Amino acid sequence: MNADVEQDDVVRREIELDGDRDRVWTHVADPAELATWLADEVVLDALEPGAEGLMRTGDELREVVVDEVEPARRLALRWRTLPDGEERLVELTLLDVEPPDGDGEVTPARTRLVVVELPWAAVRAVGPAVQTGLPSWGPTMLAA
Amino acid sequence: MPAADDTVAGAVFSALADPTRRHVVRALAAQPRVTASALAADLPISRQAVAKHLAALRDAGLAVAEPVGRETHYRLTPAPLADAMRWIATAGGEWDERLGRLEQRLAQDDR
Repeated sequence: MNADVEQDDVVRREIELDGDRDRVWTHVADPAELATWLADEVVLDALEPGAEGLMRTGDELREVVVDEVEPARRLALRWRTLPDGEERLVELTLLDVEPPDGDGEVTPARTRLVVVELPWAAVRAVGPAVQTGLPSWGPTMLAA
Repeated sequence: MPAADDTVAGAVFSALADPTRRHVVRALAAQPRVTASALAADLPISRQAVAKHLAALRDAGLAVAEPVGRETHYRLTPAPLADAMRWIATAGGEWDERLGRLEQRLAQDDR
């Protein structure tokens, strides 16, 4: 046991991808695209807050609720493995990768995708600011 | 991951979601066994509050109570934490795979 217990229940990953945020977003904001990388099958009517759906990966089925959509910037959803998994929050954040300082060459745009997944119970424990959607509790806070 | 594993991890996470309870866990971890009164003396909360948190930790399998004479001693049992860590490892591995697929998908776009 150590002082890092607060961080232990958070899964965080980040990856740098080719393309600007708009381009990466096209692969995030479309259920058919999500079915090429996020899960084997994605059934989701729309990518808008409150939309509900299902995702299947192998023989694992999850129910999904879209929480927040900020085009080309952020997608937050909650999912839960059926039948009795724990509800977890998933947040995908797209950030511009700053090009290296100027030797005058044009650098192709790149995007950093930051993923945070954590139990919804832990989100509630962080405080009321989270639930009212006040200043982002996202990667800056969770992963600093 | 099997649902049972998920449930155990869920109970542990719920127990640890409370910041005061994490203080109790740390205080428990600092000594091999301790009474609720001794814990309360170390923490800025009442003995009753400590007892409540200890009960929640017992429910999550994170602590056990052992009678010693007229006292009850509490001991941390970190085995369920290993389950929680296994969940972290599994979920992290799943994201590595997903992001790898997304990276490939974006590379296909270029062709």
